[in-house]
Amino acid sequence: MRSAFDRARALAALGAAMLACAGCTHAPCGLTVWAIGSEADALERMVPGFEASHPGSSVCVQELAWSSAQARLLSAVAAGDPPDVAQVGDTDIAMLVTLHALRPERHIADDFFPGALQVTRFDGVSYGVPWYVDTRLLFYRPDILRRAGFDRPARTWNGWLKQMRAVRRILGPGQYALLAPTNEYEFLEVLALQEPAPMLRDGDRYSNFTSTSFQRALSFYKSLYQGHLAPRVDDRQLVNLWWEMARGDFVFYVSGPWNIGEFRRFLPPRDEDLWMTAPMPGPDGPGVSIIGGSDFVVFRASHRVRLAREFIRYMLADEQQVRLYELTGDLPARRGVWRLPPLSTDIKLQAFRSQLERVRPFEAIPEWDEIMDGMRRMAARVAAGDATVRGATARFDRTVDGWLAKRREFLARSRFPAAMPPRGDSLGAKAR
Amino acid sequence: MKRKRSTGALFVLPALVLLAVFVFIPLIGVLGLSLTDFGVYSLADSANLHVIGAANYWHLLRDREAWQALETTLVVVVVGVPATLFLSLVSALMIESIAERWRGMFRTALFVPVVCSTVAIAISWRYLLNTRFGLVNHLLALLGLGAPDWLGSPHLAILAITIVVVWKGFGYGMIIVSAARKEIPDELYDAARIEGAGVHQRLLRITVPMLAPTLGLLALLDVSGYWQLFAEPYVLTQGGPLGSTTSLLLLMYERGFRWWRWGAASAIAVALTAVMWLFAWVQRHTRAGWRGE
Amino acid sequence: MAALEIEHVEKILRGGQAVLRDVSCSARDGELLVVVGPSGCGKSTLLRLVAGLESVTRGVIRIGERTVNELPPQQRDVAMVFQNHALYPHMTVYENLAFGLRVRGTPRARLDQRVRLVAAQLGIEAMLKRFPRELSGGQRQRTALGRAMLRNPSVFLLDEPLSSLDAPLRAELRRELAALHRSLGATMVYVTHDQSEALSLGQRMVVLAGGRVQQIDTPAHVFQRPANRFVAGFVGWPPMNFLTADSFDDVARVPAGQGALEYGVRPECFSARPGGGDDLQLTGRIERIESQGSEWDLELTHRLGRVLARLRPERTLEVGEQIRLWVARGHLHAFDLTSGARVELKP
Ligand SMILES: Nc1ncnc2c1ncn2[C@@H]1O[C@H](COP(=O)(O)OP(=O)(O)OP(=O)(O)O)[C@@H](O)[C@H]1O
Ligand SMILES: [Mg+2]
Repeated sequence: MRSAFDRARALAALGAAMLACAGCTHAPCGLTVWAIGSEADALERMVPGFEASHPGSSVCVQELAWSSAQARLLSAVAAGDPPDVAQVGDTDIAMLVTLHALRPERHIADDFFPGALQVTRFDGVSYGVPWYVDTRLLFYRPDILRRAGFDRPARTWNGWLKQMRAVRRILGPGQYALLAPTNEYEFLEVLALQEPAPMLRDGDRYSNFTSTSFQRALSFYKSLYQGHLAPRVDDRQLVNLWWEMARGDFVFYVSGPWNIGEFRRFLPPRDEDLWMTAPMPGPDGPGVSIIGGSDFVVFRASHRVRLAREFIRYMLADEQQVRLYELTGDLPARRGVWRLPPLSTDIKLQAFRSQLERVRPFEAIPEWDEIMDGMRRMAARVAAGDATVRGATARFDRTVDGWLAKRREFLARSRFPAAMPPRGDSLGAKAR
Repeated sequence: MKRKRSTGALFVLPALVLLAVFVFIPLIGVLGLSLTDFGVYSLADSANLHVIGAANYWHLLRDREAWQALETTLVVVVVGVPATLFLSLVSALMIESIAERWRGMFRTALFVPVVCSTVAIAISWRYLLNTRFGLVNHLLALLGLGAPDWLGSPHLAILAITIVVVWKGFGYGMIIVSAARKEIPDELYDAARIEGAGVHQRLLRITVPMLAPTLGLLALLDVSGYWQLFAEPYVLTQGGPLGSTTSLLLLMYERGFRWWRWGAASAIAVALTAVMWLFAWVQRHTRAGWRGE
Repeated sequence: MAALEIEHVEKILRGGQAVLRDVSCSARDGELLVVVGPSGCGKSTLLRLVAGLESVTRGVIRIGERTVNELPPQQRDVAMVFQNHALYPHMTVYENLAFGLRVRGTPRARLDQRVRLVAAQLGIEAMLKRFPRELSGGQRQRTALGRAMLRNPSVFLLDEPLSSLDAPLRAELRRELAALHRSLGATMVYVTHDQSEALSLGQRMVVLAGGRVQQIDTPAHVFQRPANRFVAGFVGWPPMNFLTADSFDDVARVPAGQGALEYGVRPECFSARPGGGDDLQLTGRIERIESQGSEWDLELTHRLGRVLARLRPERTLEVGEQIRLWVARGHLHAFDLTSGARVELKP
């Protein structure tokens, strides 16, 4: 019932079916677009507008699931039959670039958030168009913070620590200052990015997790759990974190923009003042955060490049970017859109607006997700007291070096350097 | 005679073709892959594909996560299989003693988890096992026992997974045991009663040994099922906390389908299969019993 | 050893179906009592009642001096051999034999000695390590018998123990069983649906039909003086012919009784030659001739129907031929046409 080979077989069958089906759906479609989850729904609703403004064109949107999107793109590329356009999570671009699957992108707009643009760029060439962006920052309870004697969240780690300790004193049993679920790596990634040294070195050829920078970030992370400021839970252990937050079980919560919608969905309007957003504090001043989101990519194999670009341009116009926000809560990748309501008027979005100016891109390599997941598991051990910061990072360094062996070989052999441009480019690094 | 043989071959041909297409060819493919370092970079440029011999297997032997996954899987097998068999047997026998009109209801109730989607079950159990609001801890609190962090503590999480797996699995065994139990002729019990065997003696000397072949078969099915533990930890704990519920299959899935290290993942798949076959072989050759063969 | 007494026993199932109605019979200490009757007449049920596997609806069962109605099976001191052996398939012959002793906690050495003794008595020593499925039918039967013997009970209950065997083996085992009975000196109730087995085996036989006792007597008496039309038709092979008075050539010579009668003549009581002066005479046409070795079975149609006669004719007979048969008056059985009860004819 649960055999490994059944699974492999199922995947193979799926692949074959996809091949067959990709062929059959292509024919009547002027343009095939693969999108993921709720974005696919949103796209489907915006497609009629595009078709109306481009007579004679027809667009087919195919929906993928987040859990299998990468696998389907990979098998489509391997089978030589990808769609024309796809929505790609920005940590997945590196793999498609490595496979030579994507067409370099042209200039579409000037006002993208620089961090978002940067993760699509490899060796100075951009391979994707940022569609929407996402970052992590603080959700918090202003009323409890005020009761503890603070007007607003601190800007520095030390200030933040002080606030959390103060808050902890006025909380009841089973209540915590911070919720940072242990099944997400983003919080620690944020902390690590706030430190000067990168997590990988030598053009992302070797691991750099034993740097003092990372050890400092990990120590801070560890102290939050060991000091009982944050519970060691993964977010699936929570029944309804929005209610729990409203009840005062957590005062700070490090999370992303979709939670604005979730808070509003689960809490009644009168509770709107129970929560607020603020930018991340940093080691010694306003901190950077990560940049995430999705990009549009055009595949090399596509014969409809012109139409594909038209489509992307259409979807990135002000009107569609606002529409996307309204349909999904996804934040527009273009700054200009933020001057329009409702983005300009929603006060809870303003912290995101400023945080998005202060982001530091991740190392866009195919292994990044795996490295981050490994980091999360390593950090969970440290937070649980099962390993020391020094020991865990040393071991993890060796593991990551092992994972990167293929990459080193690839870079040594390949004409195509899939490395990031030097860090100096990053706006985020300057902002600190 | 010769003609007969070729006709026979013709009849088994479709089965052989299916076996070849769905079992042997993939198996040989996986075996081959496991000797290489096939991954994303090899897909980009075949120059990056190397035959590396048994290196993937050596890595596996020195891989802490693999050993931990093996331990996790073994715990579920070693604790879960006997527990499942025991519950299957006890529930099958107890259901017989329930008044006929209620029997169907009980049987259905206990069988429902078997046919439910694992994902739905795992999600329900996630709520039941919630540390603060879950029904399980609520009941424990009524008994004056503590509120264990079922899915948050490594030792309890594996126990919780085992409980869910057993709970989902034993209903199937119950139906099979029930059917096998009905096959035991009543005369045997009559004869035993006349010979002076009491309820317990009849259970231990007739019912259990008569069901032994069935239980043996169920054990084989359960071992092979639990050995391939995947969906429960995947949904319930994602392999955590601290990797304590990462089964071998989950590890293989992560390496193969999340991180695209097909070579390494294939090595796990081959090892999994080899152990399974070994077990089946041992089982086959040690199966003592009155059915002979 | 002990006597078995069954008095006015009734068994009514939960659905209201009466399986046994007012059954009374007894087996003396050391007697081999045969219960015979057609399939479904309640023979097995009777044994199960005696064994205590089921409870009686009414009536009393006594073993020795004890009333056992309320006792559970193991306290009744009976052993039963089941219709289909009921050997434990997961145990070897040895374990099957030893089961009862083992359950009662008999010391190992004594158990072993007893098992081997009984196995030797039955000639199955070589089979001790085998499983029941590896035995022939006869060996299985012997094992089942051995299992009963090891209990050393007051009463043996044998439920059609030979029904699953072929004829020669059945005959052989029947003789062995009779010998065994003599050597054990045990009280036995032997159930069979085969009347010839009953005739050859028992000291007395109980004929059961429709849940009622039809007749209890020695085989010879049952054969010679069947208590009613059913017993007359059931016991004896080929079965008795039933005729009315005007089937015979000379109706006036047929002895009459009170009310309407039916007459029974066993096929072998016909003769092709006139005997004494008051023999009855019957004429018919031969429809079928079947050789039984030294004898011939003839099927004739006479005025009112068909009869079967078993003869030793002095000349060859042909199908279609008219033939005259004689019956001695002494060989004529008479039954009340409505009740079926036997009517004694005045000589
Ligand atoms: N548990 C039962 N439920 C319903 N009817 C039963 C049950 N046991 C016995 N009977 C009925 O009682 C009658 C006698 O059954 P029993 O088994 O005693 O017959 P028998 O004389 O042993 O027949 P056979 O020679 O075929 O073994 C049958 O008509 C049978 O249908
Ligand atoms: Mg019977």
